[in-house]
Amino acid sequence: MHGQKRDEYKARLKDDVIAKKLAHKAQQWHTLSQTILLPRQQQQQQQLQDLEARSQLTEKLLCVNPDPLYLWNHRREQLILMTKTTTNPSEFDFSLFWEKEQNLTQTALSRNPKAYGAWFHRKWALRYYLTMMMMGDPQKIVVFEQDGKKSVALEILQMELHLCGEFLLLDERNFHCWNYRRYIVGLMMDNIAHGYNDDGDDDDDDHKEEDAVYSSFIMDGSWSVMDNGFTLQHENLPRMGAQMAIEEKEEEEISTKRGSSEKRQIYVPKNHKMANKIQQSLIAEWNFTTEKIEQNFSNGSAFHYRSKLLPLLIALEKDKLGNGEDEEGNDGEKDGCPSFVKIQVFQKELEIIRNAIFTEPDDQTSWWYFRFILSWANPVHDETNDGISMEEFQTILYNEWNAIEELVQDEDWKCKWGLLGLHMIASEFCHLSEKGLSVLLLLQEQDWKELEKTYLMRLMELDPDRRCRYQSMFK
Amino acid sequence: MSFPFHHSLHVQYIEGLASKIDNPSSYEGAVTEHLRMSGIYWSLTALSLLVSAEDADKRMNLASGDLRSSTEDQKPSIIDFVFECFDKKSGGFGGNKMQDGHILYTLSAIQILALADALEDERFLMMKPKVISFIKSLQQKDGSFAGDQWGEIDTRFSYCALSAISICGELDSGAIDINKAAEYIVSCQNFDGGFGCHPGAESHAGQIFTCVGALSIACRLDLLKDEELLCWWLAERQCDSGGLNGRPEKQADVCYSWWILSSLCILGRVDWIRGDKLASFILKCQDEDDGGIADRPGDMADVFHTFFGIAGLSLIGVLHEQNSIVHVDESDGGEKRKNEHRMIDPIYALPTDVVRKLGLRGQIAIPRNASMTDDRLKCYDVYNNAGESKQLQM
Repeated sequence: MHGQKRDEYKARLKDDVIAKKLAHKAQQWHTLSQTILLPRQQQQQQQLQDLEARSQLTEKLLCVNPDPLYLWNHRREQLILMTKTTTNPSEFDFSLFWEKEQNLTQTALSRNPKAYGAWFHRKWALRYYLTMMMMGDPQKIVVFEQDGKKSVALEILQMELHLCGEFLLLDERNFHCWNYRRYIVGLMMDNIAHGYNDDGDDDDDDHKEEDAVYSSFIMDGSWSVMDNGFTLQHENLPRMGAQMAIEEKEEEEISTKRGSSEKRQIYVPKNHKMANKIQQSLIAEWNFTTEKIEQNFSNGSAFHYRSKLLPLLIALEKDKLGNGEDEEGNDGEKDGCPSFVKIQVFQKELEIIRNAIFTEPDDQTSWWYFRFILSWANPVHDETNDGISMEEFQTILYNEWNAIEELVQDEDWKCKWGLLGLHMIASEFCHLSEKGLSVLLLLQEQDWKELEKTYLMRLMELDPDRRCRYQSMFK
Repeated sequence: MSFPFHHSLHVQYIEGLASKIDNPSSYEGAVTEHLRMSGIYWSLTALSLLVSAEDADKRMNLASGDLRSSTEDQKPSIIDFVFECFDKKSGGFGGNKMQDGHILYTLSAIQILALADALEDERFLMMKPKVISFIKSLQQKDGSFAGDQWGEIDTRFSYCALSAISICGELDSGAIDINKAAEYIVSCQNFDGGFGCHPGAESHAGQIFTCVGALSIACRLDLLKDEELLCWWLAERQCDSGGLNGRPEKQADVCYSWWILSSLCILGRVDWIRGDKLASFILKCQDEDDGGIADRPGDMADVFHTFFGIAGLSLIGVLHEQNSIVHVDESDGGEKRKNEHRMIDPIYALPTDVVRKLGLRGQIAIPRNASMTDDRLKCYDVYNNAGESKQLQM
């Protein structure tokens, strides 16, 4: 009864007609679910027509109530058996299979957009479909376009991304959907790596042995990108985790089929066609988050995804520049494509944040992202030291401080998040000064330690409920 | 200002659930049938916080301890039901009879057995190796846990696995790789200090509890980065209404009272939110006619939110302190009711006396220069940010 008004609900229960209807539905449910449970319990033979009937039954039950996890298990068992018991397995119509599971999960999700079981089943079904396709004819799923024609897999994956877009229009904070989106991207990355591993169509002269891709094509939804290394990814780069476990047995099967000795997903986009494709996919994701934020800056889910994409895109860009692949140089946006040079990103992100905080200063969403961006941009945290210079960072940060001070003063100092932002900046300037890293002369005009205290005092007044936290911040 | 906690109404509400929901004509019963095991755990634990163990036993027909030998009452007890839900094929417990084993319901089953003091029941002792085997089979190479053989990965399952193994007393048996489990969890940490379902997933208060709880059971709070940032993020879940939300700019919901409060408890910063305001929000969510607690004021109550509401109130302390913002009406037994109320443990979500009796392991963090004030947590290992881990003197 999550989210149902009490008076309405109780009134409905007292209504005889409704009560009878609900009781009838309950009885129906019990009868049908017993029909599903008992045969399996008694381990009857799985004849094909029985399977068909039973799969129709699970379909019916799941459309009514998509929450029971065991029902989705039953369905998967039925589906696997059906693919194995057809007269000619290689003729099993997998596209029909996918269509059916698509429709079922979509119906289920329209009933409950947060049903874990439905989302997982969709991931499972999609993966099953693609894996079967690959086992049959690997060429079908190579994800790139040739002569304007897209591969089957690419079409499907792009459709799934589109579906995510639709779902997010209904509820832009549905984390199941965002996770599903990242899952699809993972499958795309796997397909891209797979597509560029076979020497076949690649006429790139520079293709050396060490550029080979090692991808087991596991398709568990996990992905990241390379730093400038050859093999293992940089430890500090964000990684999207696996959303499903793949049995070791299956891993081996797939690796054998692919002729790859590496089991786990470790790939090296040294092949610049592949790197481009990967970059394109991630830029598309980045643009999607931009779109969401522009629609509603209160979209924490979009900012979260952005916080993961940002370091990956920077790394990809650095890698490209390092290879001298981008001969035109990258000093700004090209063809509407965002720049991923660190300082430009820093400024652009601050601009987005500023739009949000000036429009609605009390919405905390962008302030969390603001804190992240300050930390990310800080040269002190940058090991490679080839991003933003200390002078640039302090100048930009000082300007931010000015802007936010103005905002807060306009609000007569009754702007909690603005004060928190100011405190963040003052704290940072204190740290830098203590470390002897203050390079901007302007900084000497303020007593940042005093300002830190002032902001905290104001926060204690304005936000007394969190007094204990503010007290702990007085060093 | 003080608000009434409708003690008797909630006891009656919980007691009345079984007959209502197990009725084959109950629509609610049908649509929640698949999670009955968890439903029983919620109702049983909620009741256990309000009345004595013996009383809860009788009212719910738990059939624990000595009562198991009673031959008068032939009605199957809760413990009987739990054992009937054992899924031989997987080795786990299903949400209801004949349903596939899953880690979620396996934990709920084990929690119920703990409440019933039935972990030494010969029926469970026979199943135990299979159950441990089931849980062990769910752990992946990267330390994560699947929910069942179908392989969905989620940090909720990490918590369930660690808690279940701990309650069974098998943490040291090597059944699961605790450190790998902890390392995986930490890989799920996000830009705001929070945790999601898997690496890359958005921070959410519920997932944060499972991650912090799991790290606590594993005694690896030392792996947690940006502890203060996380606690700040949790503190900012408190809305003007006093209630807590699960993510920025979302609505307050009673269930977050538990997940956030328990996390803050474990991390030693429960005073970063206003407990009294939270308590008054929870009280406003009570159904003052029929008992039970809803997700927010004016909504229909359900067992899930009743449990988390009562657990939250217990954790805040208002159900135990005399003259707090919460009172029990004289007609309802008065303030002395509070002496009967049992405390809840923030790590295992079970009454503290159950956790102590089993000697369950856990770790809590105490900020620098702070001291331990919470009695509930005295039995646990203490981690302070100075990098030392020490056992509290009892």
